[in-house]
Amino acid sequence: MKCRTCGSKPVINMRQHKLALCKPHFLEWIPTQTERFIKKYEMFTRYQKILVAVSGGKDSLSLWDILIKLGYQVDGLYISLGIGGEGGYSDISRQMCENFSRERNLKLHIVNVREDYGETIPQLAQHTRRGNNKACSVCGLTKRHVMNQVSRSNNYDVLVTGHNLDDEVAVLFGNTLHWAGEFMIRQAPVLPAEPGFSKKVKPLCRFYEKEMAAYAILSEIKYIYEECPYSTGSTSIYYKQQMNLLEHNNPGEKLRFYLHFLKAKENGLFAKPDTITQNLHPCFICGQPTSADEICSFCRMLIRREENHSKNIGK
Amino acid sequence: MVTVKIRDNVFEIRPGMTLLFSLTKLDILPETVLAIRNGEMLTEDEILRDGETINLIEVISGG
Repeated sequence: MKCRTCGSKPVINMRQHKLALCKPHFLEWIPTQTERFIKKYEMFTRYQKILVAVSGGKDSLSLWDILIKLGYQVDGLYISLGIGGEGGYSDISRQMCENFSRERNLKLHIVNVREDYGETIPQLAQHTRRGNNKACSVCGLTKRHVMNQVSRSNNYDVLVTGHNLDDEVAVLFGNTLHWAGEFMIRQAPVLPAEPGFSKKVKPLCRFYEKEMAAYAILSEIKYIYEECPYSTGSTSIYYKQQMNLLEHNNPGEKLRFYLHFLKAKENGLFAKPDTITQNLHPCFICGQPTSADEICSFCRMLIRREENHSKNIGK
Repeated sequence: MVTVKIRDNVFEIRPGMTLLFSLTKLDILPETVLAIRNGEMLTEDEILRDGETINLIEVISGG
């Protein structure tokens, strides 16, 4: 096997593209492809102010690295979730993000959930009883709320996340299994800005997770290798494993599944986007848009936490 | 023998096989790992030699 560009020894063989590349050419190929996707899906321009949400993992830190190399104006946002106690998962991931931004002289916003909302994510999950005592539901809800709030209050034009193809395919697989059309219609590389919502984009949505891990390692990006303790046995990992079984026997299956979905959606398989209307209005408490009655899911979660506290004190 | 490490697990396998065949023997999907030998990333056609240590990096994360 040889690098397709220079004929030297390759470090990676991407069977779905029938493409083997050596280290220097792979490290060129990833940013070039990222730029192609940014333009193809009209994600953002070099004149816009970009906020990238970073978790300390391989995808988001690699994305930040790529966007800076491509010359975009990108600041970071790290949300400290309070998982794993002192010196645990959240502390390590925060350290990774802080080191990354400091070494490259980049601006990093840090939001500490415990300081801003009184409790860590595991505590909120326990006290609100949302998501059957698993922190993932509370975590997702909180991150979406905080990302949008920070993006809007600091006047960023676009909010960027490091979701890769395997992430997207796992979500799509789950939604397809359950025919969750209302979620499928919203799954896309770009979610346009709406009143109260920042534009959200996923520049890595066409890269395999393995490619992003290879990029991080070959670029010597220090990322948190340890998994979130709550992800053990998660549905998303199970779906990724199932999709990789299909991929193993049929290279390119994951990419085709995603791209054909986007094409089918564009062709109106599910519904024309303009026929789906959501009655969004500002949350009575935080002001972020919500389709729920008066109060958004995030604020309702905090209210439920207070109610449960009061009940426990009254016992 | 070839030593293969993945997180806290260590396996010994017969030398002379390709990385792809070695992973199949260990019941590991090649799509889910990167293989590193002496700091260098390996493609799946690489032959693993006696006395070598291969570190497998898991690439799949949840969340």
